[in-house]
Amino acid sequence: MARRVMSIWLPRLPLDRRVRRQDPRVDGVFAITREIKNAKRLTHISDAGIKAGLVAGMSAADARALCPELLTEPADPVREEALLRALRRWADRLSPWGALDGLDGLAIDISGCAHLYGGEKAMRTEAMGQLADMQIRSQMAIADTQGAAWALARYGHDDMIAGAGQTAKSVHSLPVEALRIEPAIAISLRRVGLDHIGSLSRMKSADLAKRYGLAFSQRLAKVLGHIPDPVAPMAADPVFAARMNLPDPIGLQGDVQAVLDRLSTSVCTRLEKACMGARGYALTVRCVDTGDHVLRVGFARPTRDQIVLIRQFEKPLSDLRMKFGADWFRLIAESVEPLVPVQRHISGKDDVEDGLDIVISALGNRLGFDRVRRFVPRDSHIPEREFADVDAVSAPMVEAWPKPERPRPLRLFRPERLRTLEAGRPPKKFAWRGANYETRMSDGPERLSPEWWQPRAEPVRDYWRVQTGEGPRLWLMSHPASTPPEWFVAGRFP
Amino acid sequence: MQQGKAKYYRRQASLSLSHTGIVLQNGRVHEACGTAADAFAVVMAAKLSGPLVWIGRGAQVRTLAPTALQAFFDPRRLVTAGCENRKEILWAAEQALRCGGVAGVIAEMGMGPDLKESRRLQLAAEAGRSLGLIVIGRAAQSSAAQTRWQCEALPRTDTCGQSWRWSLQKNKSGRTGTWHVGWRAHRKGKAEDGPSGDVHMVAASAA
Repeated sequence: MARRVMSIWLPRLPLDRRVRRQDPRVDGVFAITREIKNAKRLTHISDAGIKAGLVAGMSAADARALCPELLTEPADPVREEALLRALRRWADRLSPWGALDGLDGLAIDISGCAHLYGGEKAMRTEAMGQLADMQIRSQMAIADTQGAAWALARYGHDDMIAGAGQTAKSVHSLPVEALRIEPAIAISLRRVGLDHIGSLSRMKSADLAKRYGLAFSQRLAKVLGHIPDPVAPMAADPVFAARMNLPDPIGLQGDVQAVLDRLSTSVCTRLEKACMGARGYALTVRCVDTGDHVLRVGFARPTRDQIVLIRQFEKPLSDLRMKFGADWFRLIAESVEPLVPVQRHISGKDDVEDGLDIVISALGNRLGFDRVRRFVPRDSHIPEREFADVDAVSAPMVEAWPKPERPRPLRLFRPERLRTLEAGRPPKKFAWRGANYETRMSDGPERLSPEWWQPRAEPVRDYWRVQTGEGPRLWLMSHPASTPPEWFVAGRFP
Repeated sequence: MQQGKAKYYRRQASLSLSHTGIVLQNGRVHEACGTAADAFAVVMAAKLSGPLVWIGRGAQVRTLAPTALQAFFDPRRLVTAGCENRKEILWAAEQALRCGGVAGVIAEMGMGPDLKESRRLQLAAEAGRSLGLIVIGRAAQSSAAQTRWQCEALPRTDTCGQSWRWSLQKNKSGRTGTWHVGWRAHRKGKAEDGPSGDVHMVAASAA
């Protein structure tokens, strides 16, 4: 079957994106700008702007001088590409063989598809209508070759469908720029009087190659169909999921494990091939009587290790009650991130991180990741603010802890009031947590003034390190401003 | 990157404190009671190399202050897990011991584990080849732990140092005894990964 290619040109995609978002500026004098040759230049101009005399390629400063009410916005290539990709998916309804073509077009191989719409003309009308419904302006052309369709879509006038075998005739009168060549070559062609494609057909291909390069003559041959130029379709976005249908429901734990084993093999192998790992996995179990149950596990870092994955699912699977069994399973990797092999550090530091990650995942999946925590240093002189505990999953790795300036207790209590038995500074004898203590030696006071930048005013504190006769080394605290002095236990040293 | 096969950090069979004759077997669960039991756990953790997990009730774990831990080990090695009840603590300790990723697991509980619970922990520690330390706040029960230590702080003549009395009350393989020990932090310039200090005998006393 003869190849037929449809080229779709979306001349004002960035503007249409804003029209679709109901941006009122597009109705007025509006333009999209981009930095080209060290100047902000207009790339896409609204209809009112064109009427006002603006042209693409003009610098924004010139345009504003010409038209003071001009509003501009820089181009957003990421979102524009996302829209173009979405349109590529839309084009799947025309033919499964579509590809992105530059930043503002699609190339679709429609060989053998047009009859489903009742011919190429009807197909083109239908597609243009659908795009118009989406508020996207488009120009479409159909030809035997990709290059010819591209040329017709952008430079064609009336007949946008070149019949089979009519390629040379249809592009005959199009300007040489329609060959999709570099502007410099187009200018030099025009200088020698070769201003339309038809004029090139008189030349020998070898002469053209000698003068304008092999790439140029090949390009011409591709447009005319002398050498093949197939549409290279985009690969579908990979889906890291696997599912299994069973003829009969299963309920035994061993059977479910076997299913999970196979599903995870499939998912993990695919992740490995793509150099990806996932931070979460969801297993959907469709029970015959109670419907779908989604079991989730999370990991401290992207993972694609099958054994670890299966181990994490053990607990939720054993908790799931499957009275009459389940007959449909699906495992999907969520929040997929790149996971590339890295060179191991020779000192074994990574091993500590690895081990921590294993245990964070193991505990976090049951206790909740907010309850598995890690310490990070904070810059403060107030003992309880010298550090913070943060979620271990998201904790940034600190370089090193600063050396403590003074000894600090191992356990830091919210100050607990003690009962003074024999007064002193610090108390000579006191009772705390149901036991009596006698101060044998003390070291202090260490006076800590509050952080004045904190909104809540706190009193000044005095701390004493106290060696009790009974053994424990305690950290006593008092507010020097208070009379009579009140004493608290703020911590215990190791 | 996580490996399918669990990583094992402790190659040697036991953890021995130099010159003192104190030996804790690896891949076993040990118990520590008394007012300075947490200090005992911290000292033992300092002698281990590899990741550490501290498990306990949420409120209890939150009183840990990493500033002081620095004298013993790098706080970056430590992950804490706050649990709601005893059952969760036991479960978390078992998981952490079994996963093989950590060198030491410290679990703080009120009553010590009973025979069945400690047996489970013991099996998990063997599977993961990690050292388990149960810090018992109230009273120990008869259990399958390898050793049980009674740890008290000793009054000293200066307020800077730390010294403890560790009495080994139960030992499944070996002698019991009592040690009076102190902790001496290394000066700067020691290897970053190694232990940051050493245990020394203050006075030896027979059981």
